Amino acid sequence: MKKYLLLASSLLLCSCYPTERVFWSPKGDRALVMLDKKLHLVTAAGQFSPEPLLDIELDEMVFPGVSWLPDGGGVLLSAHQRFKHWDEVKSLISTEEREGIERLLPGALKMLEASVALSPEADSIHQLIGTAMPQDRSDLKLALLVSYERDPENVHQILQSLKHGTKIIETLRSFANDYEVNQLHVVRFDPTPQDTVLMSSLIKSYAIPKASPQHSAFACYELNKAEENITLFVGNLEGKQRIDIAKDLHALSFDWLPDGRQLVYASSEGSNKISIHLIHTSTVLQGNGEPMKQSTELQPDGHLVTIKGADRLQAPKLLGTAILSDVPRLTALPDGKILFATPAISLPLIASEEELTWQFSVIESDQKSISSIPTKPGDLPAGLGFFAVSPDGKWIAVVENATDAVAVVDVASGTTQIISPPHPNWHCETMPSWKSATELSFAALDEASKQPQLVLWSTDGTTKTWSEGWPVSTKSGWLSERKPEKGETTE
Amino acid sequence: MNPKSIEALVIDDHLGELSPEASELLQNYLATHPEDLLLANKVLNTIKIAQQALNTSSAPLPVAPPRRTIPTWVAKAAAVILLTALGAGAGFIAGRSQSPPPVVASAPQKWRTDSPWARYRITTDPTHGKLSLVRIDSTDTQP
Repeated sequence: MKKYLLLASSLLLCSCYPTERVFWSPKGDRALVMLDKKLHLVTAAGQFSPEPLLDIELDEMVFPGVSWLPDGGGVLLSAHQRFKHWDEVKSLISTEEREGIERLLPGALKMLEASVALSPEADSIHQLIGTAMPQDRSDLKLALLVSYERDPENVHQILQSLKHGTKIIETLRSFANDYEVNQLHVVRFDPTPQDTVLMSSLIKSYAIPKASPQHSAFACYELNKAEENITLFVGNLEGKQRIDIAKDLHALSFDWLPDGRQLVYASSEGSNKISIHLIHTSTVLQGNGEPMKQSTELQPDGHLVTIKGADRLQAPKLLGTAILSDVPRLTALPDGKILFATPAISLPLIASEEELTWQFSVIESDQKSISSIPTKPGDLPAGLGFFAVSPDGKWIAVVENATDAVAVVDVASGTTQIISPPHPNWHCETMPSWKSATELSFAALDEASKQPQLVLWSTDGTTKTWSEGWPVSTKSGWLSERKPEKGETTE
Repeated sequence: MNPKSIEALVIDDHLGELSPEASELLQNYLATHPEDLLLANKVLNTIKIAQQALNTSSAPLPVAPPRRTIPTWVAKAAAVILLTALGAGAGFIAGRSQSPPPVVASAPQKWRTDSPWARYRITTDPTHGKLSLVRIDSTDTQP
């Protein structure tokens, strides 16, 4: 998760960012809304269910990752739950993961002794363990946690000899009996809510699951907390099959193409600090909607053999390279075009105090040419990392964290209208969300009460408050009020 | 030599990060300083225990799949763009383009007067020579 947070927090222009809180069903008849870190079903009329969908807190600082199934009958979502005892946890995670941790148990305390011998002056758990472990090993840390749960006195005895042993023991006590299990759920609402956990892990977490628009399958990111790498994979909704599509990614952005079998995704080269991305497409599902099979298979003699066939995953197709926001958003439009935001500057460039401007670019359906949406200077925010495309691909709603303004861009003409004006010192913390091709929900400041509200704007120009009567406590995070950032610099 | 330096050098030597000359110098030093040799052996022993602890759990690694290769044109394009340091470059280079995009001098367009957005300028920090972004007060500059 560290990597994920790093990516999310390294946004070019600000330390905070608008997050997804409202998830409309494909039919626009209901939405899931994050209220007090829990998801609640809300009707189109604004009546929300007081009981959360799941009694699990979601982390608003990372993308909560909710995706409606195409029939509107359920959602995919990633979440984590905390447990106090290893005996509860070990039945939830995979056999492979459980055995990996349990295999370490005999060596875990030896490792701790080695760490103490190497770093007698360590003043934190992180420093202590980091000395003896060149790589961040989540499994070993978990083995230590299990060892501590089973025999805390023994661990205390090992740590006592440290100069800062008492302090470290106190920290360890706060970690004890706290296992965070990351899970990928599919929750079906009709006829009655039914929660199925597709995947569970102590070591890996799941982000931005998206259901295929045509098949009973999904794509999702898997983040390995220890190795800080990101894998894009595809699975079926029964949770029985999965295939890795791309590994060692630094960017978190993909979308399904309209055929529901191809993905478009971004990967970056060199470093996660450089915003240069390669844009790929890959056919990841077979004609019957099942995930492709690997193109290579391990033979009994240890060699990998390449197997060709229509059911085998092929190398991804490289469409091009682009400079994207640190929080890139690749969006596939219904006509097969691919939309993203890029800086509006051409090479070569004379060194000068250029004002930063961005624009929307579109890879055409033939995937051989690129065009820009003809917006004008001042139409779009600098950075342009936060936008939502309408289901019909004709409109783009745009926000930024530096203000609370909301704009809508007509994709065909580039005409941009400001549908919610900025208010001094107010900042957007909520991504806009399309209810339908003609209705958009977003957070706006109610002038009279000075409280944020969720507003429904229609392409015919009308607006109405959707969150009327909701508890004030649920609205506090939708916008924020703070001093301006004048003169603030960022490298 | 202080114990910290001994520890650091012994660990580096164990990991093969010292040059052969530096490694030889370290061994010669330890041969003539028994008290430091004792410390060095203690560090090596600890590393050994650590490795054993790790090895008890490590499953054999599968054969790694071949790494993704990048077409030369992409590498070249990326190198050019990297030189601009702050991502100030052609926004997109189409997949099959074999030559760099033509340089087009675009006529400056008038800034939208009712633009609500925060504005930023790329500037050079004179102290460190690094590029940075500075927020512009909307009343300061209106092109």
